[in-house]
Amino acid sequence: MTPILDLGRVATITRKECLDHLTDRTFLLILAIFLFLTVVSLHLGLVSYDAALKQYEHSVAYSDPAFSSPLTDSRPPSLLIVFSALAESLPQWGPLLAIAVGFDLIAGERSSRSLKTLLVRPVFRDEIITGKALGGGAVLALASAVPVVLALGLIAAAGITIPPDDAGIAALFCAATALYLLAYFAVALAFSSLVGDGGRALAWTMAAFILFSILVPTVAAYAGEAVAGDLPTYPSYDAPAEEVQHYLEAARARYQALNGVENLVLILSPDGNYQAITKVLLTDRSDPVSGWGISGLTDILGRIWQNLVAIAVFPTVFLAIAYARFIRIDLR
Amino acid sequence: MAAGLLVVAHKEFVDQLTSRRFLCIFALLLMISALGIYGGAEDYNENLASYSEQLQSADGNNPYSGSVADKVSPLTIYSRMSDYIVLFGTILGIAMGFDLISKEKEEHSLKTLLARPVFRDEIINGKALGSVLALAIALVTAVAVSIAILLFAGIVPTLYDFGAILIFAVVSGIFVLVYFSLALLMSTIAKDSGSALITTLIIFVVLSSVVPILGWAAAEAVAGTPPVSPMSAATGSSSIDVGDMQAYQNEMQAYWAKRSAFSSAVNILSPDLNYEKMATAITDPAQAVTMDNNPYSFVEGPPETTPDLGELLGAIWANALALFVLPCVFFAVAYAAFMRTDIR
Repeated sequence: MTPILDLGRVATITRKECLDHLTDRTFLLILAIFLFLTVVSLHLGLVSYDAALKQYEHSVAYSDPAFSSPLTDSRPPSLLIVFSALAESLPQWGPLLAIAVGFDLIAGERSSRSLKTLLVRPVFRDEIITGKALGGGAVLALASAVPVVLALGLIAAAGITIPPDDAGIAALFCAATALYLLAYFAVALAFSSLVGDGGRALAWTMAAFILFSILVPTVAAYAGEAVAGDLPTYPSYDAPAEEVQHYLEAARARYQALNGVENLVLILSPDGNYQAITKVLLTDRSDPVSGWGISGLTDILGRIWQNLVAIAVFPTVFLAIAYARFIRIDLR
Repeated sequence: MAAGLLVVAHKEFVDQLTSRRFLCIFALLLMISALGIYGGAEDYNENLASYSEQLQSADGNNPYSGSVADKVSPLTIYSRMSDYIVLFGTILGIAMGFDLISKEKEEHSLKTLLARPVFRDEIINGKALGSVLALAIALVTAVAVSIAILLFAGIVPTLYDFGAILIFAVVSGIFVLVYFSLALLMSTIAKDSGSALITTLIIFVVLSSVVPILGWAAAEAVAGTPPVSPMSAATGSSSIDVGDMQAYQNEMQAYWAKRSAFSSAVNILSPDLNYEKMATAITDPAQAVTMDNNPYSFVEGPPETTPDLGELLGAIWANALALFVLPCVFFAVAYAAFMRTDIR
């Protein structure tokens, strides 16, 4: 019996796809822009880390141990500041790279009629699409690893020791970025096999991108507001204590409902998940307010696992659509 | 000459207005901007209520009566709309233009079209004209809907406001034309629609994201090292001379003036920033005459008196010119390229 998937043939296609991407002018151009913007973001991150460190040194030098309090005591800045500018700006240009890698994979072969020639050779259809998906995914994984490796290298070169937990978080950040890029790559690949030509595939992919990156978050915000209702009226300053307590409870419940509904809708959007993940990952754990209770990597994973699952399921669904469609495509 | 042009323009106009892609994006733009205008109108009414409350409570003896908030203008509501136009206008312009020529090449209908008694320049002019008309209708509808919502919310714009809204619509149209003409150009020179669209998107990212960052970085490099504060130079408890501090303040202001002038000069290349500047000039004129990328603009705030037209134009003429020139250049190149395309 022949194996279901011949890994050798898949590897051939993966290698060919990787090389194709890495030598494609459009891809290299976008990658160059991607790297430029990454380096600028990392530079901004390093500058703010440097400023925070200077401020910390200054305040340690002049602080009075008699007036110590967990609120006012300054803490050494977290190394993860370096990634925050990147996490904020990557969703603006990252998807373009992912979409550029994916939109022409099947449609291009169809319009140049090379797909028929390819299928004449002893290779199965599922091997072709698996190989193409793996090749694109590998290139995107490379693209998302470059900024993290670059940042860690710059930090190490600056003579700063990287704590193991921060290294783990950097690896998680890299994985989240790769999954985020993979999400839009999968959308592009799905439309590439659903639609006959590259132009329309790209247009549809952009439409889906707008849907998931802009409309879903907007709807999420409105849905949260609608479900949570109006903020209870603020008690007057001479209100009795029960009324103030009542107000606080109502405000908290409203805030929870708002967040809950918003997050529920945002699970649908790779951008929403990516933002939620990076927000938790890059929280300064020594902060007495926002970082309170976040102890180690397992705790962080516990907080973001839902978003991690969602951001992994999203590309899986679209890859499945691409796969199912490609297997049955009628080629003439 | 005109007959062929009008036929192509008419066909293109109908094609655009009936294309699902155009209608979808237009519906989105309409919906989002209507929501934005509605929210803005609510905020405006709240501001107006607190303004009149302050007016009533302000009597001659109140020492704070001088600090009554400025009367709010309904035009501020449109600054929200400009945010949506930056986003959806770009998408609309690109979607309208990226396959105008390349699709005809792919479907081999361009050859058939050219076999008929119509000149090449009539085709590209007609396509551009038809699309511009469709775009104009889209924007006029969006602005009309916005005015209707304002009236519905009980806000009646003055004649001056109407004029400003009209100029806002024209400027928004020119902004969308920038990306439309860019997409048309790529559609003419790229080998197929897919590469036309991806190249357009790359240039869009460069113009809207890379240029401002580059401007900021270049200005930082050009302006040199900032003056050193006497605060950080002074050690421990030694007192700081007031004159030194004043000199430092002056140097710092000069440094930032130079730096922001340079980054503004680079930013002229970005249609997004030019459009934002012009939209600000229309919706909030005092804000528009302050310098961009200059922290002192935030510290000092906009001037208290509304600048007159001359002053305003003096501050934004370069942005206006750049915003207008860019689509002309793109279209001219598209025209020249299309005239000489080898069609087989």
